[in-house]
Amino acid sequence: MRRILFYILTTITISLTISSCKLEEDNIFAESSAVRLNNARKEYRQILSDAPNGWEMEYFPTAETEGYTFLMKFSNSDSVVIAAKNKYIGNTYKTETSFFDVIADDGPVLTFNSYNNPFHLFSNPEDPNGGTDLDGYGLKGDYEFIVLKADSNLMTLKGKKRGTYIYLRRLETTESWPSYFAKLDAMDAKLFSTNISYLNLVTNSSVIKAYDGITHLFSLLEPGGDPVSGEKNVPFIVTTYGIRFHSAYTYGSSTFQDFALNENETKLVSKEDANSYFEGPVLNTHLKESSSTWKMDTLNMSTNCKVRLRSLIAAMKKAYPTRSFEYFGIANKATYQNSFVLKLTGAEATFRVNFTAGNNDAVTISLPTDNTNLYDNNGKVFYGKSTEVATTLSFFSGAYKVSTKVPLSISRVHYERADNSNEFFEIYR
Amino acid sequence: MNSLLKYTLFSLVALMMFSSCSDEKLGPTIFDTAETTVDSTKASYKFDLYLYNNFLKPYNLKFIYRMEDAGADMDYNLVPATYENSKKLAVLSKYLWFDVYAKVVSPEFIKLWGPRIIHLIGSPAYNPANGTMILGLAEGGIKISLFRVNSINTNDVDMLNEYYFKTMHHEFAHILHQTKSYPKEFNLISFKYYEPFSWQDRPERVVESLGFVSPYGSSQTREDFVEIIANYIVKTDAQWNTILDNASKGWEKDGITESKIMTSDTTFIPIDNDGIDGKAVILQKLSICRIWLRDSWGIDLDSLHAEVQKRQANINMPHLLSEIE
Repeated sequence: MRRILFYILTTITISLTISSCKLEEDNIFAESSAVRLNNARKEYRQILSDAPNGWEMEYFPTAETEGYTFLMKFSNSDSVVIAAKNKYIGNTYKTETSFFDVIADDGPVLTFNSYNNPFHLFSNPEDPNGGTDLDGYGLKGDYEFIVLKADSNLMTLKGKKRGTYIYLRRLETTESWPSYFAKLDAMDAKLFSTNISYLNLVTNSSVIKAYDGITHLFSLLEPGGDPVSGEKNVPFIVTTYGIRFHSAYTYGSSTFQDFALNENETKLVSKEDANSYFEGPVLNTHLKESSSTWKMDTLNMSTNCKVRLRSLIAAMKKAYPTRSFEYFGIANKATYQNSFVLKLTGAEATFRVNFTAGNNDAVTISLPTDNTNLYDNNGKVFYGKSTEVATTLSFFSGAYKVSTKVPLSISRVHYERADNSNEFFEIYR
Repeated sequence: MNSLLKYTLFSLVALMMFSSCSDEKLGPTIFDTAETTVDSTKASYKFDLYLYNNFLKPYNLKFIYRMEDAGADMDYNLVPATYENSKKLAVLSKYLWFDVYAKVVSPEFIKLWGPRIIHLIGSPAYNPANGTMILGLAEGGIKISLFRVNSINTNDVDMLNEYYFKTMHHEFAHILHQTKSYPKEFNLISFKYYEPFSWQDRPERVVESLGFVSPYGSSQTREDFVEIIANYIVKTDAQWNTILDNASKGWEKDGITESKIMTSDTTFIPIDNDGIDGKAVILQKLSICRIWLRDSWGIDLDSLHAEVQKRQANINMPHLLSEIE
């Protein structure tokens, strides 16, 4: 009997203990995940539509490709206007209207769900360059993005297929869309040039060579790195303030991602480390080594230079009435490493010079003292046709101090007589 | 007795444990159902209303023109269709497909057996592995995905058929024969000549000579069956007769050169080496299809063909699109 009693008491005790357990946990969230997801969709749609002048999207098709800018204006009616200006649309400003939505997928997902050519050409499986391969990959860009974070100024997105991080930044109300792209173009022109093969990324401890900036896909060669296989590809996007790497790049103890052009536009300074920056090549050395044809700007030169150049132009006009003057300048051509160059319609002549890059910004241009290979065939004819040619070559020879207002792209250079700052000319390429 | 008591007591414990659980009360759906009606505030309202009135309401069909990547094969790189081309394909689908069945058979028939979803995709679905591309996909008779919508040319009926409407007839025929089997005798007609793995390498004329209307039709019996139906519906009489004419001849492997043999007087005469009267075979298959559609479904194949031909010859895009505005 006692045993039976023991069983009964034990059973009641266990039952009471277990039945007092609460099988359901308190809700961590006030609403179900589906309701919260639905609310997030509505909230993000509203944030997108609330920006009166729209958003700027910093878009990277993949983590390995350069970035592109889109401007987007979302409306409550599901339509989105997208503007772009890039090489795939002929570098012209284009806008197109299509649809968007914020759907419930892998969390709230911003989808551009009807075709918008300037935007979807990055996702199209067909090569936008018109290739014939049927790989079906195209530029591999995403058009659906998981919304990771969002407030009224910044949306952090992640490409659904490629996992690329994409940012949407709210545009200032006063910003005109075409002028925004014009600013980006202007910034691009200040920073990069086809004529500059590399910039120097100066860090606290070293100088890293940054090749191919013009492609917006740097090949960074760290000190001691193998020039063939040791380059690191770093895609970036040009912004209104400078550039932003797709993802942070670490060298030594420094990590970089954002760079802003400094006030006097001489350097791209790291936002993360003010002691690190991109700078252009040494100016006078670059002038000696570059392979460009530099033309003198006939409107930007001292009076004496203008007088001299006009005399040359008049002499050439008299000698060749059917040809027009095109330019006089300094060239680095295959014929001679450094030369003066004179171009009339249909005929270009080069005249060999000695070009010396001295200390700091010093440059000396001198005519050869020997009598061999003084000029090419056209040069010989021009030289023999008028003494103005020899006079002009002699006039523009001499010692100069060179400077540029665009030291990163070096698209224009100011030459000033070393002994007289009032005597000057400018060349451009 | 003790054992009985133990079982009783532990049963009691179990009962109490379960009875202490509270039931989750089911309420209304947790999803927002407010968006299921056509929203007049949307920029696409007129088109959405057209789709509602012409597809969803009469046929219970959702015509999805805004790309749902999750609803497509994520292994492919695909892009959405343009809004303008989506409208074109919608009005053409109604005119050349749904209205045809509704008229020749009945609206109830297409509502009962037709697809539930049409999903438009702007780009082709390339298959890098073998250099092919998918023209259309039908999944379980429920959903049809149509590709290359951004390349649509409404002036090219052959293109429209190849990429969209022949594909839809083809897939719809699959739905029908999966519901009511076609006669077994069909499978015996060409059973020696199917090539399930290399059909894409067979030239059209060669397979026609063997008694198929297309290379894909020569892949397996069920594809053969639906290809006969789909091609007969969309091909003009001239195009169909060309198929029959090619089928009655012999062709070299290149599919371009007609097979000929030199006679004793050194002249060349045509010869059909495969030993098959392709034309007779195709007509025999067509006859089976025609009878099966009539007896199993009450569908007059020739009326379908005639109605499609009449409509194909009189496509008036501005008029069709005006139904949206």
